[in-house]
Amino acid sequence: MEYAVLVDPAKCIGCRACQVTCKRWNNRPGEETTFSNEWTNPPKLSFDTYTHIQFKLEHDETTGSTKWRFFNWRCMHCHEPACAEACPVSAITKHEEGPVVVNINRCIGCKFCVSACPFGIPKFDPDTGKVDKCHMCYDRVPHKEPACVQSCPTDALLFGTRDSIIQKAMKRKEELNGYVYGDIDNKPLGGTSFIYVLDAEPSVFGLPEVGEALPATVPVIKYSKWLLVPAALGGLAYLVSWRRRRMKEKEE
Amino acid sequence: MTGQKEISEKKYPPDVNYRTVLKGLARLDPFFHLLMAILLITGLMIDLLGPWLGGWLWSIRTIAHGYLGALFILVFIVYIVQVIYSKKMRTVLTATNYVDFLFYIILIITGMTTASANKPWIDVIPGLFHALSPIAEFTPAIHTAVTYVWIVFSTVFPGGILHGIASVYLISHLKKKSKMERS
Amino acid sequence: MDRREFVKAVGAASVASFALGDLIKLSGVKASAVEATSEKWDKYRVGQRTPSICPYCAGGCGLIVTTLGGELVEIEGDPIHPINRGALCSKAAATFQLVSSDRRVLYPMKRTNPNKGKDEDPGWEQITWDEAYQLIGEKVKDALEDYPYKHGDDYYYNGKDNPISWLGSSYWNNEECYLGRKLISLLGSNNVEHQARKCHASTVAALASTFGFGAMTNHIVDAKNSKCFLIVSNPAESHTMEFKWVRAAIEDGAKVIVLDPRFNRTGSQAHIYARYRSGGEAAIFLGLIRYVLYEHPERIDEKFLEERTNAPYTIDGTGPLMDWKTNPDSVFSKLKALVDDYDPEEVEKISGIKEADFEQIAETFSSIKPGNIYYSMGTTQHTNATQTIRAQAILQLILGNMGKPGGGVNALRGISNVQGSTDMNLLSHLIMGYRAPPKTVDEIRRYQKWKNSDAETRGGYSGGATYTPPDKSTEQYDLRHFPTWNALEYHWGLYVGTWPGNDPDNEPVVCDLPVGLGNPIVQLFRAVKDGTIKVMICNGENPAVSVANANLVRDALSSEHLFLVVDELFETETAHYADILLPGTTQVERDGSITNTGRWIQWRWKAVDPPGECKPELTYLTELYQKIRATLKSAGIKLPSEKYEDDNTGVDVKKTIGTEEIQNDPEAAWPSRFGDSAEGVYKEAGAKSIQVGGVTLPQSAANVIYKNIYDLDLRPDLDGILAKRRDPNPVDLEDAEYGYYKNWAVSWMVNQRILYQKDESKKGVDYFFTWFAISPDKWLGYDKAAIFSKPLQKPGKADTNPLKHGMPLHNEPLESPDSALASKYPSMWDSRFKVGSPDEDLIGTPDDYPHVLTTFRLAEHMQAGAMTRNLPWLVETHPSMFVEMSPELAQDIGVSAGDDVLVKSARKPDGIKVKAMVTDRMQPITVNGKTVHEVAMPWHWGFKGISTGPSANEVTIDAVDVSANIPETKACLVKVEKA
Repeated sequence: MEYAVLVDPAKCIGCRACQVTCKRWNNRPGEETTFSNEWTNPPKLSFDTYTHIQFKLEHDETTGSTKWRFFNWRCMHCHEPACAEACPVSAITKHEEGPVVVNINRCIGCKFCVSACPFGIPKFDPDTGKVDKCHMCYDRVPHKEPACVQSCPTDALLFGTRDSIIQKAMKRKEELNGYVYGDIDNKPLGGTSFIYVLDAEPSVFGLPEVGEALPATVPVIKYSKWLLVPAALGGLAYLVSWRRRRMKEKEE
Repeated sequence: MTGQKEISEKKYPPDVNYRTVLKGLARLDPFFHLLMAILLITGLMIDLLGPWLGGWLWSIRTIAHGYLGALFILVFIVYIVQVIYSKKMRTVLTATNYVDFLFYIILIITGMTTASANKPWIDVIPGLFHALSPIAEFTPAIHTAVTYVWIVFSTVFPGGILHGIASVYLISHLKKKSKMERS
Repeated sequence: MDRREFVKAVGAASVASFALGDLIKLSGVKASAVEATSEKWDKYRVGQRTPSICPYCAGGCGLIVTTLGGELVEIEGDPIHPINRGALCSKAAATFQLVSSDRRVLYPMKRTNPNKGKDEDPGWEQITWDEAYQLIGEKVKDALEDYPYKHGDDYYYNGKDNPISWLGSSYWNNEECYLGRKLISLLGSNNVEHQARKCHASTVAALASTFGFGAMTNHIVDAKNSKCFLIVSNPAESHTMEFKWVRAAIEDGAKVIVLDPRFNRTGSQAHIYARYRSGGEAAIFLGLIRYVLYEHPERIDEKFLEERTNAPYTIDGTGPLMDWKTNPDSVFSKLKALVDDYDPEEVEKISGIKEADFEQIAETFSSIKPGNIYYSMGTTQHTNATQTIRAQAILQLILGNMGKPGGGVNALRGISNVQGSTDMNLLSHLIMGYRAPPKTVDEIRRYQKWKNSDAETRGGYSGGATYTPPDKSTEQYDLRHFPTWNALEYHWGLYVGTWPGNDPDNEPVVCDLPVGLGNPIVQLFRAVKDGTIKVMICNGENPAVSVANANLVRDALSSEHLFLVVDELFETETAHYADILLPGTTQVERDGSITNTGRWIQWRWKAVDPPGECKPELTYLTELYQKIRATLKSAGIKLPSEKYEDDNTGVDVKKTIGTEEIQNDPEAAWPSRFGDSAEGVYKEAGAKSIQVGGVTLPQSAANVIYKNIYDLDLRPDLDGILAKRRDPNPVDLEDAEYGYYKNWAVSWMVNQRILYQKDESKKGVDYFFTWFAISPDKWLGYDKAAIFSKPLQKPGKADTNPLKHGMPLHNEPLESPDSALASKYPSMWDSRFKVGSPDEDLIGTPDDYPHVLTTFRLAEHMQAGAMTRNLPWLVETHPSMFVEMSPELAQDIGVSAGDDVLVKSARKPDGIKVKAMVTDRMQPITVNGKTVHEVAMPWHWGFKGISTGPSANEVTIDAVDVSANIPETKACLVKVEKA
């Protein structure tokens, strides 16, 4: 059974319960941060911060109206995760239920996933030399919703089977006259397990345009080793010709 | 053009023992090539044996491929400078070597970019990540693919014999020699 | 040969390797999470679950604490809890870190550095609990040694000048608050204060004098029944779980109006947001009343006004008048005349809300019912706060939004048990359930007459048939307060009255309860400064950060003559000045009940053992009392009744019930008549009868408004402790529809989840607007909410018109940015003592200090910050102190985002240095035709903890509301300039 989480920023009040709860369940330390005029803090995801709320303030000088959006950001848990494809040591796994999980015991810190992810999610930690990111509480799912979802006071995060979440997303899309990012309107990397229903264009929230298929460069990583075949053949051919030449020289 | 020099005939095979090898390695050119060989071998190990070795490769990736890779970049720069300022320019820069250097440069840039993706390099050279970030998405692919293309190139075009295999060959040759000496 | 083999081998191996590698990788892509686990999950799955209640705000969210073999594994939201349904806010989510913090105080400590001050190192030295008690006992003894117990022939302690004072705490359980109030009373002092003075003292004054009880009328979940919200608070941040239900209402189509000087996270959810200048609140609400009365009289709920308010009466209590709607003498007509001045133009002048915006707000709120008002500090912390809240209440009465689901005047209380600590009255002017302590010997003589009247008929709530008060105006007073004094006599083992009691008018008064009101918080620290207060026991409260004009507080706390005891989780700013620092426990380390903002009384079960030598507060209180009592007794310092016995040989002051003689014995009654557990104290607070000396006495509960919380007949399985009920299922269809959750825990009054909601099936006065609806000489009976309220008639500084003070009016903050407004609407501050310093008034003028400052809270930080600024998970979200300002102001003073700025006020002419947060969420406001820049600072910071910074209260003003003694921390004048 595949599960998904619906993220509904229009319902979010920016209390950051998700951010703190994530640290609690995953036993991640608080980061040493500095003053943020925008309030997004820690300003970026990191090895110790799997998820955070991005505060996005818009102010219209002419009408005087202000809009403050709170955007929960973390791994999208793609159907075809580029990070997992790029990983040379198979440390990243897509689970049937949806989570894309880094096994940090396997991780060698090569950062291929960091580069491969179109959302810039996996984060390298110089202290441990490993990469980590949100794992959709693979240990809880499906027995219990992810920790952040449980904590959300306003149901801006909802957990359910992927089908039910898609249903809810479509209904909410109509209410908001908005967009569904992750499925329906936009299926990055084959669709994601975190699905956003938005009341404005995805770009307003800083969501990138990502194609449904894996970026062509990711399979290159995987398949380029096949070049060893022509290399081996070429080398063999060279050695054969070299040996033949030497034999000839010896005969002479 | 100076007058033709008398070229002393080289002994073949040359006298090789561990001492001469180590002595030779201490010189820039072999050191450069040794580093390259290590990077190549460790790179291939990661790419080919990763699925089996997994986390065991962490120290190989971090130290042998990572820190030595950083060292390689410094050595490479010194090497290039030395080549340019020495009179060997002409002899070193064969067509094959030109291409090889191109490969090195690509591997260095992509390697650095990939490594910069989070932290270490940004701390040392702020702004580097920004300069490199537009290509960051492609660098793992380029790094991997170019490695193999280079291997193909090296094997198909003689003169730049597969460096890694050459090292292995050297070692096995030494082993054989010491065995012969003992017997 | 070798080479060939080698090459072959390499080739074969490489081909095989990536082929196999791919195979493995492909099979690995789809792993199943069903089997996947983690160390945390493994422990969590098998751990033991204990329910608790969140220690942070007053939402009363349920927590589930998971432990495994005594080790704390997880603290999460309680999935079946009706309020939070498993959810938590950021603070609550960090409770785990609060409990497991390595920054906690673990041992009792003694100060070794005699010098006190912000920059002095206390030089803590670890001591034992016994040593700590010993030191405290000695100091209390020294302070009380010469304190007079005899005044003329009367034996009592004066409650005001008593050198012992007690602070806190709203973070404590009800039982601990009960014992705190009891302990300080037994020491003869009414110098007891806690957080409630600074947050909702004006609510208690305003709502009690309008409706009967100074509490949130509805409850948290009830927001879902609302159709329109008028929010002058910031629940999305300060009471996040309240907003869960506001959001639910929004999904059902409710409209949300948010009024706030700063655009905050609540504003982000509003349909209508309007910015006003801090201090203009009363004008807005009076304007709204005017809008309904004049523009839309058809929206007045006339039936409601006629049946359930004093609108149809005259201000003398005559009536009801048949023609009250037109008769100029009716309260209704007086109100109408009073609010006529507050037309939209005037409202705009005062508050800065544009006429058009105001009319849209008024139209929306008056046309959609039921409408709900949420307010908190933005309204309460003003010198005219009581007036503003009264105006809110009157608006809701006129619209008929009272006593029904989705309506109400909802005071959002700040701290987890601030409602309970207020109910237990850790306040200088009240005792146990909003009853007045004895103020004069005359009252005690009257009380003795009441005691002498027929016990059978006078018992309980309604007063006795044979007791005749001297005049009508004292009748309700006596009948309201005397039963509680009587209950405390028996519950606590005291004597209050005259001795022997046969001749109340001439006998000596012997009163073990302190006589006379104590010092409210701001005055209290002046009393510390001038040497009146010699010992302060401060528990779970941080006045060095939280009290307005904290400079004076810190100065007072540094006094050489003050012996300060602090019981805390962390070394707070206040603890920094302490002589003894005691290690407190977190709320999951002890048992007890707490009352949330919606008056639900819920039980917290102990889940983990306290670390180190941290001692549960109930044990601490018991041991502290026993030690102090023993030390005092050995020095001959005793209760007034005991002193009376000592001075009059052969006299045994005791109570007699029938033929039974009941000795005064406070030791036997400590901590309660029902045992020494939290359950015991809980029962005493709510017991309908007690066993004293083998006699069962049908007594009023010690805390009369808690009289229903203990019911052995209803739930024998829970030992009668209704707070322990955890059944989220509805009792009936109405419960199911409106979400009362009457089977979940218990609430006061009598489990009525919405105050003043008429329930004819249950007879009793508790459901209705009660006694306060009183006119000068005539009580109108129960269920008459007071649009005109006598208790608020206090001579103001500038205006002595009694009408105006029986009804709300606008008054400017003491520091008003506009002098024309300030003279038109003079401030209602209590001018009996100096503002800013004990010697001279430190009041700023708009010329020197042109900017208006308000303070606010963040979702991620709690009050004075001890419980959040020590937790890295919360500190990372807001790591530093800042001041919010508009881009226009930033440009004016030449600063940009992140620059250091100085915020100066008349109390802090050097200013405090904070970061400039330049944001479009702040905008200039036009007040009386001129542009006013308002700036805002969070007040969570102080100089201790992981995240440190200057405190906002170093610049705020300590002018207090004349009715409630609440400091005006939400509006003062400052000057912001580049550092």
